[in-house]
Amino acid sequence: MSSIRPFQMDDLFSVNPINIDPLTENFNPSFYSQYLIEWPTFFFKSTEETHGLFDQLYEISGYMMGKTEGRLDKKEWHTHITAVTVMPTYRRLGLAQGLCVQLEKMSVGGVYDTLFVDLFVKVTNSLAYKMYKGLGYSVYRRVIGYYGRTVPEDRNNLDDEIDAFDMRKALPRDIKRETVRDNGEKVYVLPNEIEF
Amino acid sequence: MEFTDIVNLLDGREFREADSQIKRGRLKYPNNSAYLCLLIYSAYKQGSKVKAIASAKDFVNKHALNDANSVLLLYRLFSQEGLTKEAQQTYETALRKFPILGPKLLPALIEQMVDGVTPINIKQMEKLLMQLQKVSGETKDVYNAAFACSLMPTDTLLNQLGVKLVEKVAVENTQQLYVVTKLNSNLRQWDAVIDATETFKKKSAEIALDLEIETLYVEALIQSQNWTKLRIHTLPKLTTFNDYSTILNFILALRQLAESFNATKELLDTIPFKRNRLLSYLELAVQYNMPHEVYLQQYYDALKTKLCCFYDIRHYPKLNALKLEEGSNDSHVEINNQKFKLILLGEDYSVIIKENEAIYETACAKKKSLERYELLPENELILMNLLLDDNVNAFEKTDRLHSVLSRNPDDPRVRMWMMHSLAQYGHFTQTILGHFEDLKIKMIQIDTLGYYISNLVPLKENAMVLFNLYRYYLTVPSENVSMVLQGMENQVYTKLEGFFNFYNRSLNSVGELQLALTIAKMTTVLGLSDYSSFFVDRIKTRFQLDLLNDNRDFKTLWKFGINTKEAEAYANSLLLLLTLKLEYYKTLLLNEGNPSNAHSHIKNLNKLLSGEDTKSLNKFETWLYRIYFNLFKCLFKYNQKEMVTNMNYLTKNLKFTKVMPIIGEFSVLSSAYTLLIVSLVELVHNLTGLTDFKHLRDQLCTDIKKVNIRSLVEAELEKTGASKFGFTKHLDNYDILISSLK
Ligand SMILES: CC(C)(COP(=O)(O)OP(=O)(O)OC[C@H]1O[C@@H](n2cnc3c(N)ncnc32)[C@H](O)[C@@H]1OP(=O)(O)O)[C@@H](O)C(=O)NCCC(=O)NCCS
Repeated sequence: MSSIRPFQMDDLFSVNPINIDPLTENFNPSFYSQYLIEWPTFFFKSTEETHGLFDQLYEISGYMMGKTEGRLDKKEWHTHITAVTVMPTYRRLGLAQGLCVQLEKMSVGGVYDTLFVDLFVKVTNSLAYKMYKGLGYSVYRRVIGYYGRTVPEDRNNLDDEIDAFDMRKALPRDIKRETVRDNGEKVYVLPNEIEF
Repeated sequence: MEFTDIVNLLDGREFREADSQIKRGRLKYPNNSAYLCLLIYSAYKQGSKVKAIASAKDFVNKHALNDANSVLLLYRLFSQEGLTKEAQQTYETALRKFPILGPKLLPALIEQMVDGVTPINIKQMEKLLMQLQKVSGETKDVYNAAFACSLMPTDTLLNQLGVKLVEKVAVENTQQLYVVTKLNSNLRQWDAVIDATETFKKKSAEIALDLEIETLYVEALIQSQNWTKLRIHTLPKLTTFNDYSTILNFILALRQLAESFNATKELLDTIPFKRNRLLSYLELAVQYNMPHEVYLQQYYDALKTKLCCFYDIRHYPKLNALKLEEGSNDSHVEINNQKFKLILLGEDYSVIIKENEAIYETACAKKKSLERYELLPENELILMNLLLDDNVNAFEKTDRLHSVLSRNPDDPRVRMWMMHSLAQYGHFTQTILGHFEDLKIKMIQIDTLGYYISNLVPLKENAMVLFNLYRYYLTVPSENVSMVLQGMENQVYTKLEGFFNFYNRSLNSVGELQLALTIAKMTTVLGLSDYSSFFVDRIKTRFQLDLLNDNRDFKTLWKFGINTKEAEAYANSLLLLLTLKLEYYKTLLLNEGNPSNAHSHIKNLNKLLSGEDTKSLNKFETWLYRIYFNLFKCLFKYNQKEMVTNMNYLTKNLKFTKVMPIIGEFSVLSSAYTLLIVSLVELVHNLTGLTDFKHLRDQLCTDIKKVNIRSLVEAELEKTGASKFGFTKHLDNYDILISSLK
C-alpha cells in the first residue's frame, strides 16, 4: 500500500530502518537540507500504512533524493539521482523503480526540463545495476576509484570494489540521444574528469 | 557606511573605526535615531553594559523607533542581557506606531530567535504577528510574514491576518501558492484552497505542483465534499501515479457518488501497479461492506513471495479465512506463513518455534555462502523465536544470535539485536561498541541510536570514542541555524515547517544530554579536567529539562511487526528519564560555585527524589542519589537546621556495608551491576578533596578495592558458558578502573 509523499527534514529521525543498510549512505543533516532547499520537489519518500503500530501514522519504506546540475550548452544539463533506497521488507515490489520513474517524470518539461538522468553505482552493487538496466539506463562511463579513499591517478587501474558506473538515461528533450552511448563500460575516466 | 556595516565593526571589536563612522553619521543626520542606537550599542560592546542598558531603556521610552535596523539592534541588546520583556516591548511599540515596519521586521526577528540554543517558539511570535496590520514591503517579506501566520493552525485571527497580507500580492510560484493554500486550509476555507490551486494550474499548466500542495488540495476537496471533482482529480492518476492515498480517495469519491461496487472495481482494474491494485480491491470490499475474503486470498496468492505480504494484510478482519500455501519451498512464502500462523494459531508457540528453527537451518544448508551485502531473510524467524521462546535463557538466546550473525554479518538488524541482547549484561559494553562501529552509525543516528553505548566503562580510549561521536552535536546547531535562515531566504515554505521541527528536535535532545553526561562522568573519573569542564559547560548552558526531546529510536529493532507489546514495554521503560534527570542535577551540583544556583538545583533534585517515578529506581540507585542529595545539602549548607541530620545520614549510610546487601541482589553479570561499580568508583572520585568526608571516602575506597570483581564475574561466566561473546577486555577495563582509586 505504498503512497508517495514529500520528504521533510524531520523524517530523518525515522529513517533508521532504511539507513541502517550498509549500502545506504548517512549524510550530514545539512546535506539533506541543502537538497530540500534547492530541489524541494526532487526529494520524496514512499510510505506504508502501519495501522496504528508504534503510534505511527505510516512508516517510511524508501526515498529518492535527486538534484539537477550541468550546463545546457555543453549538453550536460541533467537530473542526478543522489540516493534511492528501500527498506528490506519492501524490496522487489518495484518501489525503487517507481521512485526513479517519478523523478524522471518530474524532470521532463516543467521548470527543470533536463536532457538526461544519471547516477553513480558501485560496480559491485549488482542489484542496483540490474534495476537501472531494467529502467532503460545504460553505462555511460566507468569512474575509476570513485568510492576509494585516495585520489586515483591511473585511468586503467580497474578495481570493482571502488569503481563506479556512471549510468544514464536520455530524456525526451535529448531528441538525438546525444547524451548516452553504447559500450560505456569500456570508457574509463578519473573522478576529477566528471565535474559539471 | 551602512548601518549593518557599523554593527559588524562593533561586533568585530573595531571600535575606533566604528565610533568615527557613528560620529560622522550623527553630524550628517542629527535627527536620525539610528545613530543614537549605534552609540548605545557601541558603549555596550565596549563594556559599559549597565549604562548602555539604562540608556537603551530610556531611549525606547522617549523615542518611537521608526527604522527596522534600530529596533533589531536594541532587541538584540536586550535579549543578550536576558531582558525579554524589554526586548519584546521594543518591537511591539515600534510596530504599533509604524505598522509599515512589520513585514521587514518580522523575518529579521525570526532570524534573531534562531540562535542554535533556543527552540523556535511560534507562540512567542503571535503578538508580534498580530501587529502586522498594514501590508507593504517586498513580496518576499510579506510571504515570510504570512507563512509565519500559518504556523499556528488553530489561531483564526492570525491566519486571517496572513490571508490579508498576501491578498494583494499575486501568487507567482508554487511556494507562494503553498502559503496561500495553507492559510486557507487552516481557516477551513476549502473553496479558497481549491480556487487558488485551480487558478494557478490554469495559469501555469506546465508546472507540476508540489506534493504538499496536492495534499492540501485533495484535503479541501474531501472536506468540502466535492466528490465529483475528487473523482476527476484522482481517476487519471490511478494509471500513472503509484500512490495508495490517491486510490483511497478515489474509492471514497465513488462511494459518495453512489457508484456501484462493480463499476468502481472495474475502474480499479485499470491500476497497473499490482500490489496497490490488489489492496485496493480489499479496501473497496471493506468500504462497501462486501465480503473481503476472496480479495484477501487473491492478494495473498499474488504477493506471498514478497516480504511485505504479512504486513499488508495482517489487520484485515477475515484473516482467519486465509488459506496458506503449504509445502512451498520459496523462502519468502515460508516466512510470511510463519508470521500469519502466529496470529492465526494462538498462544501455543512451541510448534512455530520448532518450524522456524527448521526453516532457518534448511535455508542455511541450501545457501552455503552469501553474497556480499546479501541478507538471509530467514534470520527474522530466529528473531521471532528469541521473543517467543520462554524455555531458553538469556545467554542461550544471545548465543543463538551470535551464531546467526556469524553466518550473516551484513544483516544490520541482527546486529542491532545482538547489541540489544548484550546490553542486558554489564560486561559486554566493549563488544557492543564493536557492533556499533560495524554498523557505521553516524550523523543523526548518533542521536537516535547512540544510547546503545551509553554504559561504556570509563577508560581513555572509550572517552575518545565518545568525543568523536559528540562532534556531531558541535556542528549541528549552527548548521541548523543556516538551514532555517536559508530556507526562509529561498522561500521554500513547503519544507520550512520540517526545518523548524528538525531544528527544535535537535535541541535539548535526550541523546545529546545522555552522551554529554556520560562523557562528563568519564572524564571526571579519568581526571581529564579540561574535557570535563567543556562538557559540564555544555550541560549547563544547552539544556532545559522541561523541554527535552527524546529522539532515541526504539522502533527499528522491532520492525518485524509481531511483538509490539514487548516493543512498547521496552520503549516505555526507557522513557522515564528519571536517572538522566538525576544525573543532570548531580553533575550541575558537582560543578556549581554559586550557592543560590546550587540551592535551586537541590530543590529540583528533591522534587525528583520525592516523585512517583522513583519507583523505577533500583535499590542501589535509590541509595546513591540519597547519598548525593545529603552530600549536596551539607556542601551548600542548604538548610542550617538540617545540617546535623544530613551529616548523620551520611555517616550512617555512606558505607560499603550499606551497599553490600544490595549488591547481593544483582547478578554480577547484569548491566545494573556494572553501573553500580562504576558509580561507586565515581563517588569516591567525587568525594576526593572534601575534608569533611575524607574518612568515609577512604574507607569506601579500601572496601571497593577488596571486592574481587574479576573472579566473581569469571566464575559466573564459567557457569553460564558465555565467555565467547568477548568479555575479557571488559574485565581488564575493570581492573584499570579500580586500580585508578588511590
Ligand atoms: C537497489 C534497491 C534500491 C532496489 O530496490 P527495490 O525497490 O527492491 O527495487 P525494485 O523492486 O524496483 O526492483 C527493480 C528491479 O531491480 C532488480 N533487482 C532489485 N533487487 C534485486 C535482487 N535482490 N535480486 C535481483 N534483482 C534485483 C530486478 O530486476 C527488479 O525487477 P524485478 O523485481 O521485476 O525482477 C534496494 O535493493 C536498496 O535499497 N538497496 C540498498 C541501497 C542501494 O544500493 N541503492 C542504490 C544505490 S545507487
